[in-house]
Amino acid sequence: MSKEKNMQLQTSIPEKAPHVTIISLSGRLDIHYSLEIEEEINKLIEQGRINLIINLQNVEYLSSSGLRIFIATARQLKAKNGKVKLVKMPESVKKVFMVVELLDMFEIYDTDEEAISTF
Amino acid sequence: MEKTFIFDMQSNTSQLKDLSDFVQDRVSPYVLNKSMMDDIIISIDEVATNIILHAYEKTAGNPMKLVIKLTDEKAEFTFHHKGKTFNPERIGKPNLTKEMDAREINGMGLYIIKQFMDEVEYKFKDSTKDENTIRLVKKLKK
Repeated sequence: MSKEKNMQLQTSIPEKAPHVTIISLSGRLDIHYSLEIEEEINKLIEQGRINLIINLQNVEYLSSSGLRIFIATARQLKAKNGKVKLVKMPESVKKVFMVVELLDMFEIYDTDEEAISTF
Repeated sequence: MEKTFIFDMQSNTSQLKDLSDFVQDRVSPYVLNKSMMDDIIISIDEVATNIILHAYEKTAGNPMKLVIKLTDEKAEFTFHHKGKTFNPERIGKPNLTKEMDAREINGMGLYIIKQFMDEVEYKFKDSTKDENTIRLVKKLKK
């Protein structure tokens, strides 16, 4: 999916960990894109993909609208005994998580492989 | 010497990127570092989003304007809009101590703006003027 190519979501399933889904986001996570992103993630969860890794390496920008995605996703997955973990959080994104004291509520890793190994 | 830039836009979320790009382009020569620029970009986006969602109640195509005034000491950003007046002081600080299940999803934008900017001032429509303004200031020197 994309809207004018300013936010993209790509998914992949690691061959050695088929129970995990890696979601790679790139671009802006603002109000314009966040609803669609949330809907795409919700579809994955409805399909039974409850072990999620969100790779943020290429996220240029995160607003409070984008934060909603992570909170809503974490809550949904908790109810289904799943979990979402974050990878390669840029400093600008980390700053927003820190300000609203959400950073400690997520497991954050430097690589997809590290995160995969924890599921 | 003060420099002034103006960005006219409409209440369309599709224009938020253009707004950010404009601010980035005009302000970046004045800021100390990327972190400061990030503070500004996020705050600008939050204010613009609030105007679109709340002042104009998600109705697209309404006028908004950002006036940027830059000196070596500070960057001042003033949004002008004619939408519904909302007083952010009536929205309390989000409770950041709650566990994930109990955390409010809404209301963090205003809190973020206050953390990232040095001054935030709201002025409302009255009998003498028919627009609201939201002014943000970021000091550029410590």
